[in-house]
Amino acid sequence: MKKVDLPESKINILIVSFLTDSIDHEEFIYLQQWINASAENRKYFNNLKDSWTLSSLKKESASGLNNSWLEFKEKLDLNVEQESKETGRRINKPNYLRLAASWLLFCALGSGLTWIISNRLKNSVGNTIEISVPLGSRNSIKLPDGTRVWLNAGTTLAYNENYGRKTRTLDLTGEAYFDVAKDKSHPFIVKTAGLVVKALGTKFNIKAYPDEKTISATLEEGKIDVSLLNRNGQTQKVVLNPNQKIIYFKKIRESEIYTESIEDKANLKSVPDKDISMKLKDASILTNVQTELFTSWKDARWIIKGEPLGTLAPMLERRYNLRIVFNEEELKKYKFSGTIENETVDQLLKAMRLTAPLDYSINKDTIILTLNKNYKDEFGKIMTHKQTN
Amino acid sequence: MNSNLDQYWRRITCGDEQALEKLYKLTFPSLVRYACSITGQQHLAEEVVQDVLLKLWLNRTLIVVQGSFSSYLFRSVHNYALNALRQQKTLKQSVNQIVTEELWGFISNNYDLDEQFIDQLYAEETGELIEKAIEELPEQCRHVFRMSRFETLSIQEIARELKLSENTIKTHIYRALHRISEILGSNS
Repeated sequence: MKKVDLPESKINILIVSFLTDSIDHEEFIYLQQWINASAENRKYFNNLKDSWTLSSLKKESASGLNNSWLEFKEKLDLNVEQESKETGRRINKPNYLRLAASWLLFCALGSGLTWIISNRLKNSVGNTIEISVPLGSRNSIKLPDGTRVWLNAGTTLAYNENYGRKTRTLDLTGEAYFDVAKDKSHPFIVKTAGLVVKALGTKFNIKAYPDEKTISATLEEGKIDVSLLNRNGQTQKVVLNPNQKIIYFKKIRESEIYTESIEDKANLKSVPDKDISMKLKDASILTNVQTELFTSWKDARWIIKGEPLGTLAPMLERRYNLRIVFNEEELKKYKFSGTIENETVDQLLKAMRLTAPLDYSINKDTIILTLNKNYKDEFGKIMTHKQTN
Repeated sequence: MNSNLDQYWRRITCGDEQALEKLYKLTFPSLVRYACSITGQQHLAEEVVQDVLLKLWLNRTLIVVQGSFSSYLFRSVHNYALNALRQQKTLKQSVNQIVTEELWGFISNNYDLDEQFIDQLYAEETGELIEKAIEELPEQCRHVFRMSRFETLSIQEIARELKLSENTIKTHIYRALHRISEILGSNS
């Protein structure tokens, strides 16, 4: 084994002091500053810290582990018992919200989904009710005030016990369509990671998936107030009218430059200038929007028009709960229009093949799309021909 | 290992309690080890991990996991451990007690979780590699490291027993850690 001469620097001692719980306040401050000084320092620290963590060789004996599991199982059984006791108690209480919650339990909605309302999230402040729709399904619910909500695949909606008392506030991750019950005295508020929408009696759609770069809200009827956090950390307010859609560009990290390419991704380039009513630095508002293109996902017939495959793919991934892989980037540019009802993925892909030179292969729940070079030219001819007409 | 966990998760979402048991036995030691690096206390770490797994089971039909399930597990444990630490008044066994709020902030800002680390946490070889690395250390270095890591003696106690300065003790520990990180790094 080679003997390495290691530099006895102050930092190494400090790090060890921290790890062994023998660091004093001053040294701690100094260490913090050193770590925050650069990414390398941080990495250096993490390296030693990881080695420390990994070296804790508490080899759990088989019996020790088994006992731990038995102890855990007891907690489990206790908790399940607790919940059933409480649901029993709740139904007796004439509380608006709780009655609604149990109503939802019985309303086994048609697409074969299992719905369970979690009334008590451990460690949460007050009681929060959370409703999630897994990938591959959609569903609709009715809130205590009569508001109807349609939830798209991969969406979570959360609201507090206090819903309806002063305001009607919800937290949304994913996509939902709201048909808000009129109630002037209780503003209806939907919060997403960057956009907050306030409505009185309206119909609108919000799309706020965490893995996408934009959040958008489309108004069908009524009026909504949209508040967004701009890049300077200030709140900007915008009012939308029917057939308007706002596209908000989520906070961009310092190192990314705001360029046209982001608009590209939001598919704005295809929108004629007259229909872009406002270009804020962090958002764009479109008017004369065909709202059903953005809201029909909730209906039996989902209407798509001129949607590039690049942005259509994530929507399909969620709707069918599968992965789509592009072998060639240029495939993403091909646009699709049509209506999707109850087609299987296979039928859908076959239909898509009629208007784009793509080949596909399905492997469990992954679809691989490849460009069919032979047909590419044919399609090219057809496309330009169409455009000149 | 990671793909196995995704499978167990799928079965758990369908209510398979046996899958939960398998998952528990497979991951509990690693998760506790990690939680302990944040909380500094074994018992609290075990409580945290049990809380995470309990919530996982109770909310199994509601949770949507994006990405690998094992990262999800670790992130949950990471967050719970931070909260648990925050709720504690003081850090035990500190020579000079650091205000916990500060420590909490430090840990939440500087503890990075990456896939490689998570993999190593689970891997069986990790323990063996580390054991080997320790065996190869010079005698006193090895002795000191063992006393600190496995007999969990404080720096003061070790210094007193071996009649060495605290600085020397810490240096030995540093050397051991350095050696370990070399071995683990070269193995990935």
